[in-house]
Amino acid sequence: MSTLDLIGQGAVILFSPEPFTMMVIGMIVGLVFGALPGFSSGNTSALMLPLTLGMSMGGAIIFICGIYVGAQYGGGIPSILIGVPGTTGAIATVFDGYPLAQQGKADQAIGYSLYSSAFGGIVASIVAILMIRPIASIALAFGPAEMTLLAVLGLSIIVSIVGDNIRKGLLATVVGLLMGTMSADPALGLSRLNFGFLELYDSLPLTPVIMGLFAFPAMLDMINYQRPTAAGHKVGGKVLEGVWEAARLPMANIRASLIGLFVGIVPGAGIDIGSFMAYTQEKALSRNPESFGKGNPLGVIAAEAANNGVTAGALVPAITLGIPGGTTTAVMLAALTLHGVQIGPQVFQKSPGEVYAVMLACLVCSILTLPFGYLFNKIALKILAVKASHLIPAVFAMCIIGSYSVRQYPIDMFLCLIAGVIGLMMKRGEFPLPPLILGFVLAPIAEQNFVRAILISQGDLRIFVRSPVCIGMWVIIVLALLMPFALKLLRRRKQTTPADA
Amino acid sequence: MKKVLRLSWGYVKFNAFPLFSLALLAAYVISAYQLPSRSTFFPQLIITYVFIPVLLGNIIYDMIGFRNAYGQSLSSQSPKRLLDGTDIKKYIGIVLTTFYIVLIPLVGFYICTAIFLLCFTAVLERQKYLHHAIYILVMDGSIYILFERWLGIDIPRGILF
Repeated sequence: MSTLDLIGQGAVILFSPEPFTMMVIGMIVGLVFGALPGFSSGNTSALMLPLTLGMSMGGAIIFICGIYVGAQYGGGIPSILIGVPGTTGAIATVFDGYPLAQQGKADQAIGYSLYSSAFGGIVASIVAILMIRPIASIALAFGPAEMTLLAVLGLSIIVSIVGDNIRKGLLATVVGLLMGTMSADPALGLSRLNFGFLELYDSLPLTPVIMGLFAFPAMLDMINYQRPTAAGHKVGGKVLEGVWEAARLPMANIRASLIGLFVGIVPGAGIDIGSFMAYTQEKALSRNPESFGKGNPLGVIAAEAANNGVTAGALVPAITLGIPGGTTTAVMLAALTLHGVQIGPQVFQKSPGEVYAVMLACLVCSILTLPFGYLFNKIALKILAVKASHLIPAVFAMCIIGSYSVRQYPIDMFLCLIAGVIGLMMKRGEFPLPPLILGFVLAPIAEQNFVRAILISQGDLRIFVRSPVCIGMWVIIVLALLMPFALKLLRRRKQTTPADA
Repeated sequence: MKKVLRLSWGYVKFNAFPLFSLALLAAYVISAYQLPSRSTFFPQLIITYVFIPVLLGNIIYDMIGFRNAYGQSLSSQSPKRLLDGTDIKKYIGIVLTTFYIVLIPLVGFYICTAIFLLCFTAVLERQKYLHHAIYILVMDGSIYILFERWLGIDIPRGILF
């Protein structure tokens, strides 16, 4: 089947009544929750995960894709109006968006954000759709040894994304790995670390753990948080002016979209990294770099185009290789497991139509960002006024019942609470969460394929260096581990050289 | 004595995650003794070559750093309370949630949810009873429609509703 045939198959799935409706609802949910500080696309989709039980497999992942895309634009609105990012991807939007609002140009800033979000998502989605087939073809050549190394690669890239917090990132990763191995032994089927609970024989259930880890700390942090109000800001007539102005800067939009796309493809790289990189790049290329941070439209454009580019990029490794590109894609993979799908490269083999439907959903949602986002702007101010005292208990109750609804075991509610307490401990100690999630998701993939590879080779470890794909992966793993240190050294040399001169 | 207590509590609060990791490691090592080595080969690989060095490194680094930073701040400033207002509300939230989960299978989901929402919102902010009643009705109603009607989930009933 040619790529066009597969795209056609995807379009048929996407434009059927149920998936299309779920996509639109997901976008609206993403817009609303993305506009609420404290909610990201990750914890919003985690919260909505149990609701995907009532959907078809395609509908479920398209619903989460809608949330993912909607939240990126939604998060930009509080960044501009009140200087508080609605999502992590909108942090860089605050730098120039909020100063623009303070200068009385809130409308134009929202217009820049609206256009760039849509443009960034459209460009990145088109490129990502074209990339899926080649990447998936390479993945077809993967045996157990290659899959083990792929999981190790996914984990090694964590080193590059935790920045200076390597020791904390490593600890979070390892704890995630151990939590992922709290399951039946793949070789003998004996249960490990289930404390006598038969309900935990298979593994720790993904949904309650993800819901607890994301939602509880975010909500508890909202307690006593005095949210600044958006009073005095009006959103109205000049939004389209901002859209027009942003449309006349195509190169900035394309640059930021592609930076976001390629950052998004890296497993574990967050949306904030993509938007920061694009912002920094735009500032470096500008003739007036000192104007950044004081209300330069290019700052908003770069950040918003990039964070939507990351969205499309993160979908690529998730659905072609089964490696989550970010936290929301980890939830998307959890939605697949809820529908009985084993995640990995076989998803593309068995359900290529659904894969292309998700990518097309990303494209369509990016296009729909323009009209939906424009209409949503007026409602955004009301959403920003929702009280924390109503939101927090409601989210807790939804998490508890959501955890129960997956398997209908009471123990899942306790697991959600325990995961929430772990998330709170991590937040208190400034431990990053994405490495733990990555470790938790990748551990079963790594262990099962490792055991299979060892059984095939009858204990010969040379199976991990036999094929050219394995050797190539080792090279990338070593580069991924060493690159952050090399870049750090290079930066330090650059800083000391002018001083020496 | 108060200084030691404050120092210990401050250390536990900031390093709760490494301490939890230590407990997880201990649980794994104990359970691994009862299983054949083939079953625990992969976790033991992670524990021996990665977990133990990383965990020990974190704990030692934090103990040295924390003792220097926190000890200095304690001696130079007036003593702080062990728990501030925000912390108390968070812990009350966690305790309420625990009771909520324990009571759901016994009493029934909707009644427990109503009591939980009432107590939690009262802790966070004082409101009129009418606002509480509307809020509880809306929440219970939404959960009923979403989970019981749409998803067809059997919500636990307990002895009440």
